[in-house]
Amino acid sequence: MKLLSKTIVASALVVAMIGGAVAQESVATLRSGVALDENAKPPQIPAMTNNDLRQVRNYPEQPPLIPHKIEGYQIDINANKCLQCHSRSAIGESQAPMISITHFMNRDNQFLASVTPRRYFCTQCHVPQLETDPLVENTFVDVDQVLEYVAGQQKEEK
Amino acid sequence: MPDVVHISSLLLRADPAKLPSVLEDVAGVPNAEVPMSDENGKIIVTLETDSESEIVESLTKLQLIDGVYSASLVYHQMD
Amino acid sequence: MTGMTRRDVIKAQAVAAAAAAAGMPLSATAQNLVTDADLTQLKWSKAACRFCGTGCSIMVATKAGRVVATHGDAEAEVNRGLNCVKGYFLSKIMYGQDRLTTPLLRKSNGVYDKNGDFEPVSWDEAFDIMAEKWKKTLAEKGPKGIGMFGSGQWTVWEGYAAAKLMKAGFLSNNIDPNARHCMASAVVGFMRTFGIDEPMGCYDDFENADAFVLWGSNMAEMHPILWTRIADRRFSHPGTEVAVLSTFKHRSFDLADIPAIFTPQTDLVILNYIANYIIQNDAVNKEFVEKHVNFKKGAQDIGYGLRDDNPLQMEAENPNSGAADPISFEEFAEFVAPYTLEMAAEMSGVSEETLERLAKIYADPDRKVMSLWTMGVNQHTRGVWVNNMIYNLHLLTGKISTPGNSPFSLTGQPSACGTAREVGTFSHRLPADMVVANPEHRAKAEKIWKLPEGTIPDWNGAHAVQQNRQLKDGAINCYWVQVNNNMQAAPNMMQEGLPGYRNPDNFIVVSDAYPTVTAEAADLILPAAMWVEKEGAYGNAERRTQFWHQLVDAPGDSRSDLWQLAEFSKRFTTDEVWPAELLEANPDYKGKTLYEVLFTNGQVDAFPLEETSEEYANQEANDFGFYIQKGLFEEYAQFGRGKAHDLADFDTYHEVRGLRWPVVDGKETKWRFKEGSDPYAKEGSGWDFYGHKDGKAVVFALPYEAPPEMPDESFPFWLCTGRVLEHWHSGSMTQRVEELHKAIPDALCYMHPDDAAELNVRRGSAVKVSSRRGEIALRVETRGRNQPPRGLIFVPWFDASKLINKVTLDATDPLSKQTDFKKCAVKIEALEA
Repeated sequence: MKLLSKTIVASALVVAMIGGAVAQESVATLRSGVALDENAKPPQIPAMTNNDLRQVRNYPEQPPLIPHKIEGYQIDINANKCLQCHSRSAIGESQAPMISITHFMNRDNQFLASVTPRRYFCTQCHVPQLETDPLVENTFVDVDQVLEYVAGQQKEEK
Repeated sequence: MPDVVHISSLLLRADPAKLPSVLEDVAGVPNAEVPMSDENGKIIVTLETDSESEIVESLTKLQLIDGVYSASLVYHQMD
Repeated sequence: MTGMTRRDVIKAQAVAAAAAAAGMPLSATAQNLVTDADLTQLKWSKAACRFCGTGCSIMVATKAGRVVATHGDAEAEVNRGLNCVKGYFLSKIMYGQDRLTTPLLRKSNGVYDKNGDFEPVSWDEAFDIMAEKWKKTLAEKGPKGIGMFGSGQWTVWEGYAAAKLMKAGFLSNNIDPNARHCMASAVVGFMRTFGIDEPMGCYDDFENADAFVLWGSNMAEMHPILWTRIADRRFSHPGTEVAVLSTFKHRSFDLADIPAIFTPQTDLVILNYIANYIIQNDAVNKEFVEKHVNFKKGAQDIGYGLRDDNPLQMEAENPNSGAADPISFEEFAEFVAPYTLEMAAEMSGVSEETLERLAKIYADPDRKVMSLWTMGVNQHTRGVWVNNMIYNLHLLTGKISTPGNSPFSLTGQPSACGTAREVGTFSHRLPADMVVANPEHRAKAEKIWKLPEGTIPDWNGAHAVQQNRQLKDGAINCYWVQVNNNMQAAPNMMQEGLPGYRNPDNFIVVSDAYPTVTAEAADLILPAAMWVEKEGAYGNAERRTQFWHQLVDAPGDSRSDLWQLAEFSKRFTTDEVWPAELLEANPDYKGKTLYEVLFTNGQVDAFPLEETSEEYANQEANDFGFYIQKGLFEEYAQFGRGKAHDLADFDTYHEVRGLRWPVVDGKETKWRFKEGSDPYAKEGSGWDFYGHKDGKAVVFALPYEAPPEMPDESFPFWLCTGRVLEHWHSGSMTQRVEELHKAIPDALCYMHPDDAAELNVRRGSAVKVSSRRGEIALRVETRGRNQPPRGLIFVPWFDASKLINKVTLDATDPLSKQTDFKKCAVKIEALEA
């Protein structure tokens, strides 16, 4: 369970407070301890996630991630490969999720007959994922967990 | 700064068999409250103190309670 | 904060943290919290995006002291509900597990030691050692011995407070923002051509133009939301054309009707060719030019902003000269005449057909043109010239300051305009386009700041690159970096940046939310509140000023940059840092703290706590006991009101989705310099370029000059660096968001497949990229989103573990002092798998 943890800094603090100082030689977390004047061996380029499994979104407004390879996809003034599967008329055959209805709205919130050109370049918002681990844990908690927490508080009160 | 409060939380690990007496002793430590504990001997303690040194003081007292294996500070914020 | 008190929230966080550490479920918590039914609803508030200079408005949902969701603000003119992928993940940028929550000082055996390890210390201890070092240096070396490096990511009042503390408190102009790396060439370009900074047009131009020309900008990745407005226009308005010029193929080429890959530095040639084409084909708007334009010939052979003892610098005939002499239109025509189609095609490598198509866009009187540029133009050893030369095309044809006719300088950082430029956090500047070298400007600033005459120093301080050089040379000994990651961002890290920070004579302080590369190079790290953890204001690229409230509390002991600046100022008295003569002549100032002089001066502290919002917290106002943000803003606004930089009153900005200055009689200005649209343009003038006294803009005659370092036998490749869509700048926020990290986890060496084959490497091979200055190791990409021509590689700089600025050259534009991150010579060698 991801929670509001500040254990790293806080436990450093506690040891410092009760005597033996915990000191950190390197702090730049994203460099994994490699000194600034040195270069680590670069990791292999990871494979792109290609399992077609939809991922839970952090919040409803988040654009869904792309769970498949998109290498070589053409999205330019001549063609949009993504729409070949995700457009309204294509999903019967492709069984892919249809692009959101928000994508039919123009700048003035009017619905158009087809996808608005302002949403044409899919990869500005939707990105594929590579098979690699996070560099640092992110302690964001989604609203369900926050609500559960709040509900727990209220229950205890009664 | 006037009216500063140090809010901190600690994680205690205690002998599950001695849990009731440990909880009683924890309650006797000034400024300490127990919002959560479980049957495995994990106890979460919050402290509201006026200074950092009081946290250390309380921490020492908590560690000395009979049945407590360890006490560690997890969170600290001044307000 | 609806029913829960602040301390309840902190306590809840404390419990949650401990529960997480123990692996205990939370719902059983017995924490004694005050709650009510409101808590089940989300609270939505507006904020400006934390990332680029587009300035999208964001709706932020909070719950129980946490940000739980964000989305594009449907009511905002800028983005109308859209975000780019980074913007959609703003909710997560504050929650990297390694947020700094306490000051950290390098120590050995309990005391400060430059070679010690970082240990947690209290704010008191942190400020004690800082003040000790500052006082010692000020006593020994004077104000030139200290320096500060800030950012276009400072909020408006943070940048203002920093500039005031340095220039009016410590009496040092050694303050510069990282906007120097980003927008300095644009600024000098504006000042030379128009005499006043920032774009005349606005984003409404996107819906009015018939053609868009990108001069060195990959908007598809760097300004995605503005790119959606161009795509919208291109696909829904038949006949619209998009031209994309660059030294390599990138995502913006996907929308290009006219793609052009040119040899680095030959943008200078292409621009002069188009000016020549306009003249040769009788496309000059003669009436406009006669009324509104002066012609000048600029100094040539001006060097490369390298150290003065660099051979290239010594060879230059007019090093760092921005001088220009008046010439006639005919002389200008003669100057550009050698830049023929054949010559331009040969030098640039762009086909004659493409060049002519491009020239016709500008020459056709019936087509409205928007020119757009960012770092390809600004990060250029002739960046100021290129800015001037783009304006040349719009001025020769009169295509300026009307809807759709717009030379538009895009901005990199969220408040490069609002803070760095408008507030004047540059080493030579004061607010509202004033400069420290001008005695009248200093007098005006002293009057507004209620300071004695002669307080503000008259010398130009050290700019970004020069600060690193002076740290290395030991000229600056105390240095404070806020809201940026300059060890990763600045050029030539191994020869200048790192030796400068680690120079044993220097004490380096870095304020940041996360432990960055720069923080690791520091001696003292101060934990900073970020984004919606404080009340803030940013100003975007179209002169739009936007506000937000503090929506959540900062973690642990982290505090905003504003709080840090004001608290630090309490530790100095005028007697310690001002010259005796100044105090003798003005005894009222004796014995006062800098805090009293700068912040409780009757203006900054004029607004009581009661004026802060009842709905939102305000950490700094509560700490200082007055509405400090409002006081700073209203004092600052005095500089611009009545001077064509008018801002609305403070409270208005909390209500609206931003306003574009000048805001006169409650109305914003869309097109400056145009009569009827800009209240400052004189009646009957048509256009009024009032930044210059005679109301005229300047067309500059400037030549092609070669770059300082070009590929040769030893270093046969051009290196161009830049950003990627998914990461913001140095990645300190976005690399901590799992989804963005997984989208593009590593910086890669983008290169042409034939070059790879020749080097015996392929996609995924490890290579060493090295220059005369340093080296890094990374993997080859031959079929990615960037497709360089043969002989050029592209490497992004977001990746903290692959620091390409170890390799780059610290050559700058000699006028703007902005580094050219787009051109230097490197070699590539295969590494063992």
